[in-house]
Amino acid sequence: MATNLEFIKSASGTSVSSLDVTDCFSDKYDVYYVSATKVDIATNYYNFVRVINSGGVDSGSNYDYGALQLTSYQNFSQVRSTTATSWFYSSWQSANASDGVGLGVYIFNPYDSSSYTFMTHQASGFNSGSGMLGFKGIGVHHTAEQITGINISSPYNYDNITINVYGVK
Amino acid sequence: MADDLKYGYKGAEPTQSFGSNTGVFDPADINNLVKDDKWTTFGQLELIETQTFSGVTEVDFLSIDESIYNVHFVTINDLQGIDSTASPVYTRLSNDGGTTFETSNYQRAHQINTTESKTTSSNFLNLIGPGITNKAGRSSNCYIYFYNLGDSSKYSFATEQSTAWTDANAYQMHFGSSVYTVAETINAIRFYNASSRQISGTISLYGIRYS
Repeated sequence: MATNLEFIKSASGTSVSSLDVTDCFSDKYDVYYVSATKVDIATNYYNFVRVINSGGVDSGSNYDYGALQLTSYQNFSQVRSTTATSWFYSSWQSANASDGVGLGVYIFNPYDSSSYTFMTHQASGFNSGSGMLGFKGIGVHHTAEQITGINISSPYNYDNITINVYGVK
Repeated sequence: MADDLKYGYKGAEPTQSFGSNTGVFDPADINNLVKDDKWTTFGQLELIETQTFSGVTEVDFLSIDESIYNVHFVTINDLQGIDSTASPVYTRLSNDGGTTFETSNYQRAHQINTTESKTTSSNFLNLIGPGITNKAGRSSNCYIYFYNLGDSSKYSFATEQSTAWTDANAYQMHFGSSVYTVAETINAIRFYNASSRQISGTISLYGIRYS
């Protein structure tokens, strides 16, 4: 039974569209908690989550996801893919600096080269001019390989972004 | 150990930080590093407070260490009503240490079993207990993540999930996301019964360090 979190690593960036947290996964943990909260972006958009393997950030069509998009201002919608190039619908980020986001991701078995890497996530964000926009979802990186890090990106520049990674002990 | 510099070093003092402590330390050095938040100690899910309660209509957490933690985690266990009238339990936030709790500027979206629940104008942040009463074995159990409570430049966000057996003798799960749309420092959290009915249960508030 998991009893605590152990801080592993933090990464921050300014004026970047992509941020890596490298070498944060190891054989010490099977489960990891990743949080992203202090995020500002130049243009409203989704935050993409990808894994880092021996070749760097994997942008191939190796991601499956299913998520429920929960909004305070319109009907909920389901999103899904079996051939995505990222865990696309992780969270939504507004350009308004005061908005921010709350994103928590659990990653399972990333370092086990014989297993796919699984994830669950839940997020709350704000869509400027509309209202609260959140997600609850699941995903898998369907390649059995060793994953050593995680990446968050957007087509637009982040003014500021910080990602923290913890091991679940 | 020499102590003419901080942490007992002579000459150039190595940079000390979490995960990167260098040298041989005596107890005084360790105490100083712990005090300066530079000593590596694992266990970053840090308990702030647990309240076990019965016969109250509201439970307030008035010291949430919002300047230390950017992510808070809450567990709610065995939340029940004291009497037989079903009513829900919600949360609200305070910007003045619990003197008052905000009653507007919340937005939320919850999936409750197969039903959507959403609003851009709510007077509470989270739904943590559906129609709970005093019937034996029926309770609500929940966890919540709070984000950016201590950041005066950001909205405060939350995500949650609960599992419950309600007074209607039916299973109910819900999960959702919510936001308090004022960029200000939040420094207290209230859990309260919507109809001012008495409740019982246990609520624990944790901070996630270095978040």
